[in-house]
Amino acid sequence: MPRSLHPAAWWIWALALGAAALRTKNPLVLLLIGAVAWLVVVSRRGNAPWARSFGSFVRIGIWVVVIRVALQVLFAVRLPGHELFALPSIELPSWMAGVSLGGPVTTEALVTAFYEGLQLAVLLACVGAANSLASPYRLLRCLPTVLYEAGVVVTVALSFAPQASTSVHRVQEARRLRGRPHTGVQGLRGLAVPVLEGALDRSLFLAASMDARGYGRKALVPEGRRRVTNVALGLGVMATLIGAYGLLDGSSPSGLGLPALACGAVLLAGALGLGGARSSRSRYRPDPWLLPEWITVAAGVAAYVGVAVSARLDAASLNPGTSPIVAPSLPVYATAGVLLAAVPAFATPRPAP
Amino acid sequence: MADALASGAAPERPDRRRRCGARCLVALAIVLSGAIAGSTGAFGGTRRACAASGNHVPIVIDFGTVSSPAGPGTVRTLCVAVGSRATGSDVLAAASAQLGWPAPRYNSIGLLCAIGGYPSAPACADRSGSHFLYWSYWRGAASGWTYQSAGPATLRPSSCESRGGCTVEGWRFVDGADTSASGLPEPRGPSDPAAICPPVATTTPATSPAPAGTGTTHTPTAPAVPGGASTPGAPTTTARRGTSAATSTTTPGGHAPARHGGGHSSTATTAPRHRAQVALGPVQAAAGRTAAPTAHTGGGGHRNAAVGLGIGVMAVLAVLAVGFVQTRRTHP
Repeated sequence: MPRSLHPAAWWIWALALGAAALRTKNPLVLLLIGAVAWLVVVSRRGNAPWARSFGSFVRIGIWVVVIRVALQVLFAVRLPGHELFALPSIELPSWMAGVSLGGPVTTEALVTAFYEGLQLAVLLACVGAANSLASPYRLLRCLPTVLYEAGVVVTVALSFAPQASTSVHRVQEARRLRGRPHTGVQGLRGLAVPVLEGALDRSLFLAASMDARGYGRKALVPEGRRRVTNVALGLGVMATLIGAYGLLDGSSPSGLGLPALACGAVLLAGALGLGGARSSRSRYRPDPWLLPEWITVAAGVAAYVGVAVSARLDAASLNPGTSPIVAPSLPVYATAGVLLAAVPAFATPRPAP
Repeated sequence: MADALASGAAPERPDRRRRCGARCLVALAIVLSGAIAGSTGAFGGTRRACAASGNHVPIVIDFGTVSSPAGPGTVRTLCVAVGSRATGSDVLAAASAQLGWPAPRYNSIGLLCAIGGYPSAPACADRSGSHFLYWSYWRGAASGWTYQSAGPATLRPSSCESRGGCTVEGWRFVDGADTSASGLPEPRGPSDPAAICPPVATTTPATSPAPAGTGTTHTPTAPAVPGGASTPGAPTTTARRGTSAATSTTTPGGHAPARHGGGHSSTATTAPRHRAQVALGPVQAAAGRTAAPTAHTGGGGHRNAAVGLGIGVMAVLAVLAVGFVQTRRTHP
């Protein structure tokens, strides 16, 4: 039966895929992650206005790669290697060591910059996949009660990217009908302000209308308990961030990631439970969490676990050397995990038309 | 209403957008493939040609106290021929090529990770306990060694042929535990450039052109026995003998390698400057093999890498193909 999947499942899937992309600079694995994200998006996106935001994110990603390479050519550390061409350079004082203006540009430097840009672009594509697969409105509905008090902020934060994506289409259409340039650099000039303003406006309208329905209102919670909840929430978020850093950055001390993440999760759960205990809100037709949701989450986690196992067993293949350049090899576990992440393209129900 | 407009005009837009994206991707692909093609040797020839111009820079590579592939505590001392305006990295690369070692490995921010394949692949200035294991960079003059705080890719050592004279490029592998109160341990080779690249004789040597047609000359690479006897198998003339193109010295506690050279070019002070451009004489090739066992991966390794690359590309293409099928099915 067609139904849209729980938005949290899509977000967990996409963020796990993005975390996998953050652990590797192997272009094969990165391209595979991007291709898998695209496959799932084209298979399971609906007809909602935000369903097309994946394309916008991919275009931003391409620009990221181009800009990263350009910055490397112009300013970055001069990497040794096979010199392709040399830009006129300026000697900088010694206290600016590490930055250069112009100078020889080597193949190694270009490839390094391309790999790093590609990593960022694929991460953007993963976030874009979540944005185009999950409905921001449904995601707002399943937020825990404690966060209701930060209503406007949360609403704007969650719905800004999808709103901006729809806003771009809207403004481009209007400019096209008026006969103004709407593509290329000319089109960009008239695009930025109306898009940003429109997206923010629409997010604020949404927040206001939700506020009118009792969303941002303070629950009747005693002052002491509110304070405890807020402290636990802050500490939990901090511990979660440290844990995420430990999991994502391979060079951080081992034994930091999982314990900190678990500690943060316990604190957050406690805060959410404590804050939501007294609130008497009911949900209208809550989104179900069934087998397809579990499959989606497991598929995303499988991609991360595959990459993490490859990182432990065969770190060199996840970060192929760029100086000297070696041909990227294919890490087995990472590839298998990323391919598993494509399962939701087939194992989830189709979205309602 | 705007939504209705957007959906009404939809059919012509995806087409245009796809073209733009495709153009960007094609440009990127061209840049990348060009870059990789450049790295696979098209530019190697020009660099070799540059190297024939007769600039020489002395270099000392000290594997420190840790057990290195060349045996514990090996010190290599070379006088390498480089192109004009060569950077410290160029000198190191030329020295590695001359010794038959794999090219020096750098990480993505230009930090030198490995010389002669040591330490092996992912390791790069790793931590061992409370200290770090890394290659330190020095510059040697007659007065002693100076630590370099800038990287080899930005520094251009002056060659011994230049008016101001040259300095020694020094590399020492540091085990952080070595660091004493007196500071970092220095490379244990001569810091005086004249001891490695001896000054040019005033008379121009009467030399015949290089024997081989390849433009490279082979000189006696392992140093010569004091007195300048030539190494068997190396095409030598009296005019081109006697420079210490590569010597190995060991610390007192270390094991002396089989091809142990004599002192530091004690015979070379009057020798004319004719040195190996790309010296891979029989002796040195052997030295390279023993020094860096990981240097030459066999053909099997290359084949495996190619198979992995092929499978990876196929996997990406397969996922994309399934995606196209899905696009047809869901959005006909």
